[in-house]
Order: sequence, then structure tokens, then C-alpha cells
Amino acid sequence: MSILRFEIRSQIRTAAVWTAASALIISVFMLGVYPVFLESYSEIKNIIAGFPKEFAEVFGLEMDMLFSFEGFYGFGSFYVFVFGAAAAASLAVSVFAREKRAKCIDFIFTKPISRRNIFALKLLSVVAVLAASNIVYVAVSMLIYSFNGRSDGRFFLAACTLFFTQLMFLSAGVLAAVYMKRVRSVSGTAAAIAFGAFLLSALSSILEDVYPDYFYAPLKYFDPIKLFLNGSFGAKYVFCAIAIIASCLAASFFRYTKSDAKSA
Amino acid sequence: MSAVIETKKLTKFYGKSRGIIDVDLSVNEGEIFGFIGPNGAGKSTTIRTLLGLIFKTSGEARVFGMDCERETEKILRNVGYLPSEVFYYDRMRAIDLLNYSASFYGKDCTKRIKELSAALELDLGKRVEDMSLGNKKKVGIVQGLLHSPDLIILDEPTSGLDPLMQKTFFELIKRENERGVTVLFSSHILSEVQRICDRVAIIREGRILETKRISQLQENAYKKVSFTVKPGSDVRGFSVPGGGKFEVSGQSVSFIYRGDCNLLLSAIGKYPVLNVDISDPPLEEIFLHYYEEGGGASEHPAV
Repeated sequence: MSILRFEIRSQIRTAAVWTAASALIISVFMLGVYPVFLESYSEIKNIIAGFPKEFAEVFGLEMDMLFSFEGFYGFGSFYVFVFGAAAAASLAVSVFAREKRAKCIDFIFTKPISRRNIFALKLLSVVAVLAASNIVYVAVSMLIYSFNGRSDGRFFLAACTLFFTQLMFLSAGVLAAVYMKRVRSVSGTAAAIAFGAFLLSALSSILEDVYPDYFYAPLKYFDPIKLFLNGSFGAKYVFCAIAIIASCLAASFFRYTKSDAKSA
Repeated sequence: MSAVIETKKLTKFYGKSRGIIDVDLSVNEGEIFGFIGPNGAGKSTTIRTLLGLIFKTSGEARVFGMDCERETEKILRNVGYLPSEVFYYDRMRAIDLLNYSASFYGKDCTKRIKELSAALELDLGKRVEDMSLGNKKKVGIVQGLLHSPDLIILDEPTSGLDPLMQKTFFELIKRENERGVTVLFSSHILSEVQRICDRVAIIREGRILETKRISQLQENAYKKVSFTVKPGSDVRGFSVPGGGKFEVSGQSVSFIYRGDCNLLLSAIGKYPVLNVDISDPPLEEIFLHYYEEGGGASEHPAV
């Protein structure tokens, strides 16, 4: 248990900064940007009316969704997801590469605790910190939602999508930390993971008409807009997310527990 | 006397590179066992296998009768380890690090931490990263001994410690040994091993060459002999069976000798002797002898 306490304590500052940032981003989006955006609703509607009928029908539907509170929340969430992905990966890399970076693997591995338990406690610490951070994020989101006098049961699930997305990037961070020979920079590694995911999302948007599936874009698996439009994220993407998490963690666990500890 | 450490044909390869080959080692309860060899001979590989830090390729390694890979956790409850190079977490004070280390053993180590730190003159309030190499080493020593282990494994422990602190360190280890603790002491500084060890294993290129008592090693080795005769005596023709490397300088002769001491004394007694000095060679010379045999090694031990 001392590892759990030690790791949570080590993450508190980063986690607090991230929690405040995520709550601030979504607040600014929904309380600051959204009202301004809403004011231009009639002008944009008129522009769309000038488009060909079929196009206007499809586009109009998406625009209606975007102008809704839920839709705009989903739009804003994407940016929170990108930063959230980096934060989750950063916490995971920091925790799992801590001994590698400090060259003190011998210290922890010569304590009377199995590598299995070290891995489990480290993982638990990151999940616990992210869960605590997401409780704040969901609470802030629900508070903003209730201020708008709206009531959609799916909104709570939509607010939880950040956590689901972060779990994937946490797993990717663990994988990177365990398999990389040297972790020079925690933030650099985490940013690379998140930026890569952002590029894949951008690519999926470009190729959406040709390849409607977006398995290669994990930032879009738990898209709140899809939830509000279709009532679900799509089972295949949920399974895909579970597969990513399970395979990353299994591969990391195997390596962490079965490989030789490198001496300093 | 039961064996605390026992390895049988313990072998470790790093891919195709040799680590250790067929290492047979038996360290008895309560002894201070020296493990000597030059850098790259396989000392650390053996130790890291015993601690479960690396996984053997073949053979057997047991500590306290338990398998080093399957029962690592149980073994480590009673093992204190001091690596050759000490690295710890950033931004931690020594006391926080030591308390964290103590938390794994489920017992109150506060008193022991204070005692050891006082003996080593260690400032517990200082951040480890701000400490000198020697002070970091002291943190390592306290961290290795704070839980009063039954087995202490020291991998080249004195690097970075000044001579006074080395003396304190050896006293600490001897005190631990007096209360029944077994010590595995790995070093390439042979005088250190000679100073505190009961038995010693010599390792070369991954293989154990010999395991002997320190006294046995010295008994079977050449003696260094020198004597001086009265002025006017001619010692240029001095010779004795079993002797070698004769050097005559004025009225003095020096040589190395292995054989019956009575024969040696009677050969010397034929001269009007003023002074005789017969001494055991230092372990360094005995050790070099092992390295020179069988074609010689590319590396020689540091002394």
C-alpha cells in the first residue's frame, strides 16, 4: 500500500493542474463561447438554406445538433479529450517510468513485494487519480448543464466519456513507459502520444466519406455527439477501446514482470 | 552449518553475451563471504540473479532454501542490498526515502534509521540528489540495513566512501555479522575482502575458479622472503629449492619461496644473518596468480 500512497502523492500536483484546466476549458466553452455561438444561429441557418436540398438536409441536421447545448458540449469535449489524453498518458508515463528515469529500479525491485503487485498498485494509483479528476470534471459539467435547465439522461454518460478516453491513453502511456529503453521526457512522450491521436482524428475526419469507420482514431471512440445523435457510441468502438486497454496493459504487465531489470 | 546462499550450475546469458556459466556457490550461515573478480567477471550478474532482478538462463539459485525466482518476495524480506552505484528518486529527502524503504518491511525501523545515520554521520534532512557520492552511499548503507536483515549483499560497497568512513562501514558490517548476519561481499578491491572475509570465491570470465578460506589461499601461496647479512659476506650465490625471482642488492637478498619453512631457515642459517623478513603475499598477488594461469586474463584487478 505504501507504493499506492507514494505514487498518488507524487501525482497530486500534476493531477490538480489538469483537473482545474479541464474544468476551466469546458466552463469557458459552455458558459463563454456557447452563448456567443448561439447568437449567430439564424445567420448560419440562412446560409445553409442556400445550399442544395440534400446537402442542406444532412448539414442542417448536424448544425442543429451543434447548436444544441449537448452538441456544442460534444464539440468542446474533443479539445478536452486531446489535452485529457496527454494528461492521462503523462501520468502513466511518469508513474511507470519513475524508477527507469531515476535509475533506481534496483531499489523498488529489491523490496519484499512482487513485481505483479508493484505493477497493480502503480496502475491503481493512476486510475484513482484520473477517476478523482473526472469526478470533478463530471460534476462541473453537470452543474453547467443544470444551470441551463436541461435534462437528458445521456448527458451524464457524455460527461463520463473523458474518463473512458483517458483510460485508453493511460494504457498507451504505460506501454510506452515500460517498453521505451529510455524515457527522457515524460511530457514529451505524452504529448507525442496525444498529438499522434489528434492527427489520426483529423485524418478520419478528412476520410470520413470514403472510410466511415474510424477504428484508427481512438479520440473519436467515445464521441458525445454520436451518443446524442444515435443513442450510443457504437458497440464496435467500445469493444475496440476495451481491446486497446487490455492489450496495452497485458503487454506491459508481461514485460514489467518477466524481463531483466537493467542495472544503473 | 546450513547454506544461506546456494547456487548450482547457475548460468546467465544476456542474449549471446556471457554473464555467468555454471556458478556453484555456497555461503554458510553467519559467515562473511568474499566474492572477488575484476569488472565484468560476473559478480554483479550472480548477485542480481540471487535478488531476482534478472532471470537465470539455467541452473539453480536458492537463498534461505527458497528459489530465487519463485519466492523472491519472501527472500527479500530478510535481505539487505547495497548496489555498487546508488540512485534514488528525485526531490526526496533522505529521511523520506528511508521511511519509504522501511514501509515495505512492516516494522518500525525509526530507531535503527537514527542509529545507523548517527554512526555514518548522515544528514537525514538533506535531499538525496543534493548529496555527494559518499553521502548517497551512506543513504544506501542505511537503506540496506534498516530492517535488520539476516543476509546482507554488498556489491562493491565502498566506492565513494572516504577511508575513515570505510572503517566505520566495516565496523558496522562486522557488528552485524557478530549478531549472526550472513554477508556476501563482492569486490574487486582485494584488500577489503582480505580485511573482513572468512572465505572467498574467485570468479573469472563468468566462472568460479576457486573457493577457499582466506588463510588457505595465503598458506598455499608463495612467501615473500628477504634477509640481510653482515658486511663482508657474499650472498651472490644464494639459492634454495622452492625459491625463485632472487634479487641481490649489496648485503640483502629477496626472493619468493614455496615449500618447507625448515629448509628455508636452514639455507638462510648458513649465512651470518642480521635480519630476516618472511611475509605472506598480499591477496592481490595471489589473485593475479589465478589470472596469469591458463593464458592470463585481459583485465587485471584494481588494487
